[in-house]
Amino acid sequence: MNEEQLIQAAQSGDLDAFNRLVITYQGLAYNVAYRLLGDDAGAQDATQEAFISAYRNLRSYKGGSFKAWLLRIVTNGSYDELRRQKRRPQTPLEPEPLDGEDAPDPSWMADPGESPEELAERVELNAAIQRCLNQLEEEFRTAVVLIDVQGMEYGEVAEIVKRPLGTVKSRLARARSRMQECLQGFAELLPDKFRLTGNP
Amino acid sequence: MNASIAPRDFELLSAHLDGQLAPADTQALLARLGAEPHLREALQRLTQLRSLLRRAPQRRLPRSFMLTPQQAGQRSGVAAWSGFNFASAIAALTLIFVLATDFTVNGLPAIPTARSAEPLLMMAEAPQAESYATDSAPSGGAANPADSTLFESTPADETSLADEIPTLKEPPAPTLTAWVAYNAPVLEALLASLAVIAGLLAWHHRRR
Repeated sequence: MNEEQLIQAAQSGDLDAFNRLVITYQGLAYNVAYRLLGDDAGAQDATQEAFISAYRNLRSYKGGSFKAWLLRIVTNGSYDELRRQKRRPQTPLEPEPLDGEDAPDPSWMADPGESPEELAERVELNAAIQRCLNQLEEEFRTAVVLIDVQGMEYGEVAEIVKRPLGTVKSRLARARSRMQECLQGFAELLPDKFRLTGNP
Repeated sequence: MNASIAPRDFELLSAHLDGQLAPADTQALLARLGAEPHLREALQRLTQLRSLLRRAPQRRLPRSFMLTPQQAGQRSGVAAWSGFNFASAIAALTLIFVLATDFTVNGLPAIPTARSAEPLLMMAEAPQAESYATDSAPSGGAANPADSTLFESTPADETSLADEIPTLKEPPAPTLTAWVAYNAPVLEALLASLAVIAGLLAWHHRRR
């Protein structure tokens, strides 16, 4: 069955068909939620809630990009989760790691054949990126996460955020400008090859 | 870092980097890039940034997010319960009140509403009938035989009196129940309207 047929079957109540769609998109959905929230537990909750909400509201899907429809639910759910966290801040039992990573074990980032030094560099880079993302306003963060981190097209993102293409372009430019400024503040922490320097 | 670049120029560079500029704008920007080194430098930094962000590692899935039948079922149950909000409760209570009122006044919900006015008519006739009974009925059985002739009546009259006596002895009091019975059609229409409005509000709330 192709995606359209899976959607139709799921709309008729076929949970297996819906779960095949979940398998296709769960990696993307979870990573988007993680980048928007910067927190693993919150990202898991937001992703699970998004899929449950998508299943319940599948009849409201009227065609078009299913990926965009689903990611809209994920982004909205992620920001709802962020607002919930702000309303009920939780004090961690252990001190927050200095690099801002919620998981002390960075093994999830390890590539086979990667040296410990390379892994350490990537951990630092990842932490710096996440800290800078966390400082952006919601609309700018969404643009840079979807287009630059996830490599999505402008048109898809416009559909997700339900804004004109021009607005997406403008938001992305401002987000990139702020990310540049923020990452410059981490220049000393970053390996040379990741430093943002111009060659006049 | 971007102090030397105007926001509009930065936006042009950003869109150009992703191939999102119109051909005419691209030509104009390329001409400027050839003449303005600070624009070239800004574009180079922007290219580095995009490359950096694209290299940001993707997290491995911590678990599967497939829905179990329980999850799907339980959630819809929860949603249905949460939809049973204040407006739904009002609608249900109003309906129960309408049915209960109808039942206590008329005995059965299906009794036509026209009959609900009967008790009031009986109540209006009751005082007259009662005075007739009091005035005309002798006290006890020690009646004057002469007077007894006054009470001689045809079998037909006896029958009509007998029919009237039970009604005359238990006249309905002018109570709230009687008032409700009199106004039953209006009250039912009012409460049914309230139930419909509350139901619509609940439906609207759930759709949101």
